[in-house]
Amino acid sequence: MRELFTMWQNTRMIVMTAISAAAYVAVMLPFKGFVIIPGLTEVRPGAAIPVVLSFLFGPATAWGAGFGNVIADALGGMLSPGSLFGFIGNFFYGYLPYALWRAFMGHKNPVLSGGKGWLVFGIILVTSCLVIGSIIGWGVDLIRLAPFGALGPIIAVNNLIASAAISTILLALLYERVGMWGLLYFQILEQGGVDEEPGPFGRKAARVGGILCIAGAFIAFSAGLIISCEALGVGYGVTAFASGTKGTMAVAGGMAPGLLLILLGAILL
Amino acid sequence: MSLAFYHPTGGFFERANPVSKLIGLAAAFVPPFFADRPVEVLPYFGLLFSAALLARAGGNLVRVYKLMILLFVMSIVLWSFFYKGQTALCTLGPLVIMKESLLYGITIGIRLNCFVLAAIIFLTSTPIEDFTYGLSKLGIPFAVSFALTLAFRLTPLFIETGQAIVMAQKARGLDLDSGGILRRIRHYVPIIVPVLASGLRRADQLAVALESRGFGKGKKRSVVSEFRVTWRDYVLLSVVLLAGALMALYRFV
Repeated sequence: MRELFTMWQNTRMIVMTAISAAAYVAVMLPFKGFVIIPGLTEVRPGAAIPVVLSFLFGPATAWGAGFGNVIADALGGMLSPGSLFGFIGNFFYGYLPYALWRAFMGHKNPVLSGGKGWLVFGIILVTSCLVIGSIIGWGVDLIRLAPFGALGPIIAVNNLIASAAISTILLALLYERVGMWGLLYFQILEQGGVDEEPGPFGRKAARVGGILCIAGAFIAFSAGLIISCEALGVGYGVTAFASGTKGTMAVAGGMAPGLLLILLGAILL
Repeated sequence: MSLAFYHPTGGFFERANPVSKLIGLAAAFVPPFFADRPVEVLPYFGLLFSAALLARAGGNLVRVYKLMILLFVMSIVLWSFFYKGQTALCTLGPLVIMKESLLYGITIGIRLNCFVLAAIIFLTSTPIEDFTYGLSKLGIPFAVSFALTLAFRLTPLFIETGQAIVMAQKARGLDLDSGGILRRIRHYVPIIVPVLASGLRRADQLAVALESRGFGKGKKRSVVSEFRVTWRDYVLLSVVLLAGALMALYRFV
């Protein structure tokens, strides 16, 4: 996680942050996706951008994804208290893919790493999407704008579909090329003399952090769904709207242990 | 494609200190949370609407009115159907609309629109430079606020590039609207790759240009324009805080 802060000493990484944010918004905003519920949700190809750019630009994408979300809200006239959780959720969505990959696979090319690589890549995709759904869904539920049972799964599934559909294709087309230009994040950080080895306590601790993140993502998301949809006696599905939100802190409290695990894991990464 | 909500008017809000405007925006988000019924949140909505007119944000309100209506209607529909109230109002087939659910949906709909109004007032009266100046004064490091400003500036360029690429690819036969969900998403690959490649080219040039001008070398930075705290800032913050205090008093006392 150190590189998230040390990268601000490197001009190239600062520029990459802006590029990541602008690219995210530019692909997210104008290109409408596949409408699922009119006015509420649609699968947008732009949702795959932070995952792809995370493998390329690392910590710059974490900040860029967060900024991109704020910019998209500002340009859409939708700045709100929810934008804060949008920033945090997207920050983790841009941070976890490269950090988890580095902890388990080092600096191998993500699309040329064999069976184990594909397995790790798949777990990373699912974890990142669950984390963004959990964080934004939790925050918006906490401030009682929308129930977790509705928003969390929508965000997670939308992002997963878009990332699964095109992230591997984009990485196959871009990773080697960007590496040849010397613009992969670890190349830039090494050139700048910044240590980009995983975690403050070494690779083993980073792997433990990765496992904590993965476990935390599943725990937080499951807890949110169960509490939002079932514990109040309304069963799973859309019937859980509102009941899990208005006047109760159950969802926020129930998800907290999972979210804390994610945070702890992210620090170790 | 017009992206920016800002237009210079020289009015009350535009001449307020960006730091006050940022604090005012954050504070303006709080009062709607004190309201649980439409009558409690409507006066605040009226106050923000009046402020939007004072900020000469009418044109921007026209741009976002569809979003505001959509938020309001979706909120009413969702909460009416899925929030469990006690007093039946009417039935729609198998669904029973409860009075409490409908009222709560209306409240949340107005609450969301209050956020839109507050954001529109801020965005109409604040250029990007003032926004980042405010962030810097609030303690955000210069490199961070610079990256945010740069991202704001690059976004329209990237969107233009993307639209040019879409037109070029469509002219070459790319069909974005056919096929199932995965196929349609994959159709975007020939668009996203050139957008990212052009971004990378820009990144390299930008980094060289910045470093050649000594970016990041000086510790103490100067700014082009300094803002003073004036009576406008006191009025702005007082009105927002007073509105919040009144709503909190009504709710809790």
